[in-house]
Amino acid sequence: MSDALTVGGLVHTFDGRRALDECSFTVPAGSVTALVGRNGAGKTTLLRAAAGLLTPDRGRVTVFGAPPGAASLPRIGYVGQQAPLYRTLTVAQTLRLGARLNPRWDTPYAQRLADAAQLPPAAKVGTLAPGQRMRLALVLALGKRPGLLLLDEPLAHLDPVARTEAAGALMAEVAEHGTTVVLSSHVVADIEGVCDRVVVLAEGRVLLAAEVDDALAGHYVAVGGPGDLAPLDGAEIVETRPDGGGFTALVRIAEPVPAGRLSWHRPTLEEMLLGYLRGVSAR
Amino acid sequence: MTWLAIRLLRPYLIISVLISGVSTAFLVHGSAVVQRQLDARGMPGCVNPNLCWPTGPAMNAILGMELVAAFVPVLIGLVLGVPLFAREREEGTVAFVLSQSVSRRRWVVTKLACALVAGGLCTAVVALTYRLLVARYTLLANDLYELLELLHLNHVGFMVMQTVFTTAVAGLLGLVYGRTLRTLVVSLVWWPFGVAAVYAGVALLPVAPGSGVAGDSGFSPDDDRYWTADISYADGFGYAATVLMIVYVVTTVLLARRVGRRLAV
Repeated sequence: MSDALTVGGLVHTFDGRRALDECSFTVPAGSVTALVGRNGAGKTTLLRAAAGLLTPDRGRVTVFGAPPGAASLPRIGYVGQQAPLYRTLTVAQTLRLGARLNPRWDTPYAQRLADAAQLPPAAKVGTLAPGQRMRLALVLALGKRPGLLLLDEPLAHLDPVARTEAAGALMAEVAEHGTTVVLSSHVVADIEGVCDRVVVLAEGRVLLAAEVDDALAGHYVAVGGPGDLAPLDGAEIVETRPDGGGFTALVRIAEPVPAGRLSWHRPTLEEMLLGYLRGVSAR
Repeated sequence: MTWLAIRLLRPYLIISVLISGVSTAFLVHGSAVVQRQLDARGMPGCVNPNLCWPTGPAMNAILGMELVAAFVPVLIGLVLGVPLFAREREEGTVAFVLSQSVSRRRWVVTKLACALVAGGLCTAVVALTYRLLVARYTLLANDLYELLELLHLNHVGFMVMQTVFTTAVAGLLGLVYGRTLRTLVVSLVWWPFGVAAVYAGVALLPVAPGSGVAGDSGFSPDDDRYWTADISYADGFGYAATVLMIVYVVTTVLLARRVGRRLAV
């Protein structure tokens, strides 16, 4: 499988603070990748660099083998946080704008998506609820028929029903056209069952980049009492936290170490991701 | 992209058209006020300030018309130029448009071109009205408003290019700062320096522009042509300044293109 997105040694600094710090990972074509991290982890900066909206200080980004830019823009769909659209245009005008600005625009498909999202054509974008605006932004991104769809916290402003519908529309797009999707989120529930790959970002660094199944297979949660930590010496402990009188640890390990009173179980995706995110905060 | 540029410009275009329309109407009205005074004095065609120095409402009208000619070009330039890119950056819609299949160069150039043409046309109406209808009345109080006249020179090209130059610079500043208020303040601070740059540029030209100085016109002060020569007094300078501002505008647009290409959104 070829790579839709390649990020190599990406560094970007804002006001003296490193938003991205030697980020490297690849996103295979046709995959749905979740970019997970806490607020300020660098997710938005990374997606903007991938969309060609900012040029990183250092490092390399390629989209289908080419650097993001005018030539690759028709193949990239991008939806930013808050779905910034022109508030004075109506829904219908915004859709027509999509057709004017994108040579690969699929009018019937975009209209179908807009109808499914029950977006009133005559309504001004500024009068739409945040969830509806996000749905419209998704329609615009999908109507381009992109090869790579970059979504920056697309589900954050949607109500539970709209969230399910939007996720469904995304999955249908992937299934029908093999579109590669990279979506950022700090809500683990948003990505469970939707994504087949995960990239965990913290303080601008990539902590984990793997297929979800492989990542889960490579981690265990160890639960033990006081003094049970010793057998884990040498193992790659992602996070340890006190639990009652003992501890719970997320360990990057292929097989559990049989030792004393330690009990082991496979983490859920949520346990694993929270372990990584908490682990960084605790350092 | 042109449709979008014009659509986004629409509210500012409406304001500019209103400014242009109201200013033009004021010029026509002001001329009528001065003409009425001349008629009342039985000297309807007088252009000699020694014979028909305006007073009262007529003098006020001349001052108003001078102010319109001096400041409306820059006002229209600010109305169109300040929000051109600053507003888009402020509202974040720049991320939307730049993630469509549109090159940054096209985005910058199309938006600027629409604003420059619109501003130029709005000011052209005011400038033409001033030159063709009003200038002969302002001759009557030329001496009082010489400083204001330096800002318009009775020259259509100079006034139009002031709008175009101001729009281009305000647009560039908006692209750089991305904040409307800051762009407005910096544009206002920049304006006198811009005018100074035009005057300095013309002064440095290797060929000094010619002018029809009234005193050199060869007519005696008793001849009306001695006074009406003042209307085209600064035409030579005006043409040179117009050409120079075209160069400045082209440079500014090229600079904006470069800034747009590197813009981090």
